[in-house]
Amino acid sequence: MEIPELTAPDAYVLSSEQLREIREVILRSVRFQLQSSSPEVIEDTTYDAVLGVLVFVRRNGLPDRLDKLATTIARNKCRDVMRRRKVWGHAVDVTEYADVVADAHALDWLVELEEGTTLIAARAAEYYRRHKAPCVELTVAVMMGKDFKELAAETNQSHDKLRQRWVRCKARLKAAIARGEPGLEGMPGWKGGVA
Amino acid sequence: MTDVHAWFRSCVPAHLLEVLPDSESARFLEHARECAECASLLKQAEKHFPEPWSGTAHLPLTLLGRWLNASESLSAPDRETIEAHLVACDECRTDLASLADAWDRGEIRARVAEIESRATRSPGVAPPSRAARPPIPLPRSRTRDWFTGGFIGALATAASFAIVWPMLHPTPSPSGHETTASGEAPTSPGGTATPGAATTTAPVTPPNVAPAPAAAPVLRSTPVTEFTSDLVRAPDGAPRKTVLDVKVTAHDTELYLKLEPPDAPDNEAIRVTIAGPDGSPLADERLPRSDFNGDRMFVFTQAKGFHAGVYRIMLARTRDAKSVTYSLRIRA
Repeated sequence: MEIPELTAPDAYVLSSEQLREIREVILRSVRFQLQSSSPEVIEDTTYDAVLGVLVFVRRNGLPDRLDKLATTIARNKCRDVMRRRKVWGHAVDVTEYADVVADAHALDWLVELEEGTTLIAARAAEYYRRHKAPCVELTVAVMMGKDFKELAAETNQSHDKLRQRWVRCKARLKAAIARGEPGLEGMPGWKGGVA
Repeated sequence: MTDVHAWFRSCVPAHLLEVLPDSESARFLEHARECAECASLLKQAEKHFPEPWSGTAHLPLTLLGRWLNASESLSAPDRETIEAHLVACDECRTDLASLADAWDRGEIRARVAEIESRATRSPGVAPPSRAARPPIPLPRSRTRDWFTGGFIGALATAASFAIVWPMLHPTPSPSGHETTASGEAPTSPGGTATPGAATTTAPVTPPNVAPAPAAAPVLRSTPVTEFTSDLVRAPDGAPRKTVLDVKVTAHDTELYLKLEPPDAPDNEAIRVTIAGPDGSPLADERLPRSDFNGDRMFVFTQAKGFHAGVYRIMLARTRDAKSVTYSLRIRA
């Protein structure tokens, strides 16, 4: 596989001085919000948030108040850490970034995927909700990222049965997209859509 | 040719979520076979798929930023989806307001204000908090450490969430939970209980909302009020023990317990038994699993005050008797 070309930091439009400033702001915010966490977790989250600011600026332009943006992103990242910790305990706090190439193109691509999947998930859930389909809860749950084991425990249904239901849900959704039903406009494969 | 690549790129999220229609899917895979660049893009996306997708059902900040600054780059249905979500979701509106503060532009403030007014007119069903969302399934390697402890590890983890809060008031008061130096003999909330014997579980309202029930229960569940926000979180690095250690005074009649039951569906009952230091049964209740949710605590009442010693609290599933046992050591 071809290694993507690394992008110089100045492609992010932020000067070293600005980077140092936002790192300070983020570190302060993360230390406050994750005050009982280990230094490694705080460092990890700070790094994550600084990258988040860089990607945001690259995609949306430089805001008038960079510190406000940094604080918002830091708060968001801290909530993600808390969410992970809530179920998985403390052992999973340190994120493994070894595989993630920290260059602009790779980060842009990951952000694009996040945006795309979130929008599709929201559209699918909304479509089933509007049609009062029996699989709306299942769709919402799966699209939210719940795993089947967790769902099976919550709904007192067998793992296999839930998987089968989900396969049928997806098939119905795919068919609805292919038919070009209203509410799914613009989704890939929708009649008259992108394709 | 560029359009084909752009189309391929736009289809990747649908392909990952497995909702790409069959005809498109065939074309998509065919292009992946033909074009090395797109195949590499797809491979990268598949490799990192659970990571870019936060799985929180909340909108990523980059998307909110696009909606604020460059909404023309979004398609009309996508804009509608985002706006519908913003109207329904308080948390994303808070994020939006914070983001909007980063720009000193009138039109951005106007857009935020419009969403706020729409939300006021038609409040939707908001998704739960981002922090409370279930996580995406993580790769096995990340969770190995947690699992290696086996059952003991799981028990210890559950116990680390258990919080004991001594109530220093003889009776719950609307003003809070401040310490008292009163020398009056402690009384039960209702004043009619048989000390150390009654085992009633009543769905109760918080002490500062409604008066305590007439009977003095030994164990009851109560919604968490504001004071628990600091207590629910166990300090990082704290030793994980199954023994909950608490010091009480002669006037303490209530302990607030945050109990973590064994995994069970919400509609299954959990049997809670409490045995005193001398082994005598103090409570034996079947409570719905939903009573153990994060926003509820249990009030363990002893009308005549607590005797020092080790109390045993056992939470067991009714179906298969899988249980978690806590030792509650009370020091006078």
